[in-house]
Amino acid sequence: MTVPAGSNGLVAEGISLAFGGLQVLNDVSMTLRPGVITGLIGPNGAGKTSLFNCLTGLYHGQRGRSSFAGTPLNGLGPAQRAACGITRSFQNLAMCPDLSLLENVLVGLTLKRRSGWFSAFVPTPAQRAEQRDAERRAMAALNELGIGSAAHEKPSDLPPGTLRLAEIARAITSEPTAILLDEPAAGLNAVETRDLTRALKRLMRSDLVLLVVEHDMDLIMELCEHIYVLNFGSMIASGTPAEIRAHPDVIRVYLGDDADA
Amino acid sequence: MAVSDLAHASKTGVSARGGHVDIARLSVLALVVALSLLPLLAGGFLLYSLSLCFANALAVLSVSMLVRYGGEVSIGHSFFVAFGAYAVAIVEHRLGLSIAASLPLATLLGAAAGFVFAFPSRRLSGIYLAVATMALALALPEILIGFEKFTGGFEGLYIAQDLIPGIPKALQRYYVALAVLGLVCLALAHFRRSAQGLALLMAQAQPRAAEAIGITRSWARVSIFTLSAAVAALAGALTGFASSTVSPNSFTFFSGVFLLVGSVVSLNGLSLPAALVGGAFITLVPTYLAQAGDWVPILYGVALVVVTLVANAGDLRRFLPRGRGR
Amino acid sequence: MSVAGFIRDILPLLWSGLISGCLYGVGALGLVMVFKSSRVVNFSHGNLACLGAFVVYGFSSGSLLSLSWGSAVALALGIAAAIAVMSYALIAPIVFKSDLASTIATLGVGLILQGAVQLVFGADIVNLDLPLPRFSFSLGAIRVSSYDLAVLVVTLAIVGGLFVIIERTKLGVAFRAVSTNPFACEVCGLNLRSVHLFSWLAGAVLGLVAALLIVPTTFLSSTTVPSFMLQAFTAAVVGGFSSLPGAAVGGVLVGIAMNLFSFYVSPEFMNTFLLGVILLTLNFFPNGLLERAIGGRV
Ligand SMILES: Nc1ncnc2c1ncn2[C@@H]1O[C@H](COP(=O)(O)OP(=O)(O)O)[C@@H](O)[C@H]1O
Ligand SMILES: [Mg+2]
Repeated sequence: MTVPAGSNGLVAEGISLAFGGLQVLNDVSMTLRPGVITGLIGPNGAGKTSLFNCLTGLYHGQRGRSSFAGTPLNGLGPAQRAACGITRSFQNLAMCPDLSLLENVLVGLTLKRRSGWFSAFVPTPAQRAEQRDAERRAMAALNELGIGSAAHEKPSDLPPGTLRLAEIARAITSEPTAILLDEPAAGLNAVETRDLTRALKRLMRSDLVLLVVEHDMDLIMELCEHIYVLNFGSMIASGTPAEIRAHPDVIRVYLGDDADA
Repeated sequence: MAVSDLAHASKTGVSARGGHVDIARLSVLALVVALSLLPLLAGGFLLYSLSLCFANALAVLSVSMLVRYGGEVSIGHSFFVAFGAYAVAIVEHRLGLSIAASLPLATLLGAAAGFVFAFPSRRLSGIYLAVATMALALALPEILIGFEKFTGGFEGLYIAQDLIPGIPKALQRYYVALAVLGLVCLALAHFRRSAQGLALLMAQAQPRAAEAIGITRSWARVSIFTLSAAVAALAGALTGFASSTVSPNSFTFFSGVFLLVGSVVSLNGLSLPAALVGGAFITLVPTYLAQAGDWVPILYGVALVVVTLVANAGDLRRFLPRGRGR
Repeated sequence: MSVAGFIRDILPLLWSGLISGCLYGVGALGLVMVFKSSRVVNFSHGNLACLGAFVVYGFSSGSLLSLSWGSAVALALGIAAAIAVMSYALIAPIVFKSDLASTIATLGVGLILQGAVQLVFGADIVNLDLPLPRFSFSLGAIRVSSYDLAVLVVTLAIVGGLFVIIERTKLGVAFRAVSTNPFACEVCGLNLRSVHLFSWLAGAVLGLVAALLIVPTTFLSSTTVPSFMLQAFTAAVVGGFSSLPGAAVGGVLVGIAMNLFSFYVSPEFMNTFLLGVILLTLNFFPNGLLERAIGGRV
């Protein structure tokens, strides 16, 4: 699926979200253009994950609209948005403990798989071919992120860094048209972070929407071409890394941010 | 390991991982061979008990499927078991057909009943389903007795037709039950690696992440319950065939609870040995403790509590077999 | 059926449905208290109530002792409370880990209690009446008996007492907090265990009271009370399972619906009817019939 010409990727307009009396998002708008790695930064508790959840349909804002490739997303749940080609990773690792790492990535292909209920119980040649193909794709995603060697391990035997990369592998394996990553570098060491940065850059295609949520400035500055800054639920700035670096509000928010980063 | 030996899912004996002989698989194979040869040595009553035991093992398996893949408990699976058993009996009485026709029919009807039952609670947490299965278990005796015209009321119905005329009844019962149980275990081993199996395990362990990759809770709930009910009905059809009779006595409120006990005692395992342990427990304990009738609920209750506590006590967990969902 | 006949039948049916519905509601309140605080569906609820009722019978009828009815009830309450504490202690290690496992464990406890009743009291069917003066009077088409009045008084007292405890006492505030957000309570230093224990004790008392009041209308055997609890479960589902007022209202609705069904349709398919009510409620009112008034659940 490619983004039709003239459409503008994943768009959120005027999103407001409150939990009880707590206003978590306040009239937030953002545009994620295809072919551009977009970053979303902000201190802890700024509402990044909440905005993310609004985009993926886990939360529904009280106000605002969102659309993807020109199609309105309002009212769609997470599974329906997944069917539109939007995938995500989770800030809190969401691995199934009973499945091997490879199988955890393999489930990312569920919507793409065509084998029916009969072949779920009775092996057929077509089902085996399909299974091999799916495994090849999942394995490719793991290799892309440099963790192919851990494919057959159980999540409980692996370090969190590997699991986080696997989480990303699951999001990219189905070749989605939009990938949203929530704090992909949290818990990664320097080497893994570098691998991740490279992998994400390699992944980038002209028709792919890619959003990376981080509170680590350095990673975002290196990776992204366009950056949004969220603070206390409001979008305080947006622009190129250079513009963001020079933005007075951003400097104020991130001054003395060392403890946070 | 799942991937490399995938192509060999149905072959037993040697796993593809480096060509090493897999001891677990070999012992299952040995068990199957031993059970297949047993009728050469054993007498009628033992064969009869074992046939029932196989049928019960399959019923236990249906509950374990629900626990493993759905994360749900049912205390009303006796309903679907009875459904299958009565389907066989009624098909024989009304249409004059043997289990060659009624076994598949019972399975399909069981799946349909499971779907209808699970559909209303598709969006709710599993606890609501558990409560609804309690009503199912309590409604069952009423239905069996109330629809006397079909079910034969208190008396029940006889099942007399052979699958293959000419072969001794005891052998037919034994081998049909063993073959169906073995095939279902193989099918479940394959299912564990299928797209649907993986999706169900994911939906159970990480419902939100599963939604985000397109696996909805309602799909997962309805699918696994339908499958599990189908297996339960198949088990019921075997029970009916193996015991040559169906009556409300075999399906009281407690039958459903006992199936859950069998599942818990077998650690919700989906392998042939696990199913046999569960089936043997619920078949043999009541038979051999018949004099101590009132102790049976206590024994079962203690088994439920102890196994559940031990299996969930965290530290003890690593002594249990790994790889849930097998 | 004539209109006059219908009117003559319907009022007594509604009235007796209301009376038995009060008891289903009391039974349901016990289930909901436990569920709200600890997220466990207590499948031993009916078995514990049954054991309690048998203790009252055993200690007041002379089959074990011949105490007065009052002291037998006091003893039964003590025993039921002790068992509730013990069952909670059993599942305490896993109650935060897995709703599923703790629910299975309550089934195990239920089986043990069931077996205990059968061991001590056998499969006997006995009568257990309330020590009430027998009188009754007519109120239009409705006949009101002393039993009816006792049920109404006890139900109102219990619901009122529960309301006061939950709204006015420290324990009640903690209970409400825990049932809204257990994690936050833990963080704030609230003791979840004491709240759980309170709800399990309350559940046991409510179950026993409901059992003692329902038994005079039928008889007491090792299976009647546990299957009576299906009505309580249905009432809880109709009320949304995590709403206390919902449970009470659900009980009355279930009581009336059952009476109408058994009179106009068939008395032999009561459990099947309840199964239908549960499935229809889950499908059309997943959060209970009172959802709007009380607000949804998570
Ligand atoms: N489900 C929820 N219920 C209540 N409050 C929530 C919920 N999700 C997020 N919040 C609140 O929203 C605010 C923003 O959280 P979050 O989006 O996770 O921030 P970030 O990802 O930027 O660190 C926090 O104050 C958090 O407590
Ligand atoms: Mg976050």
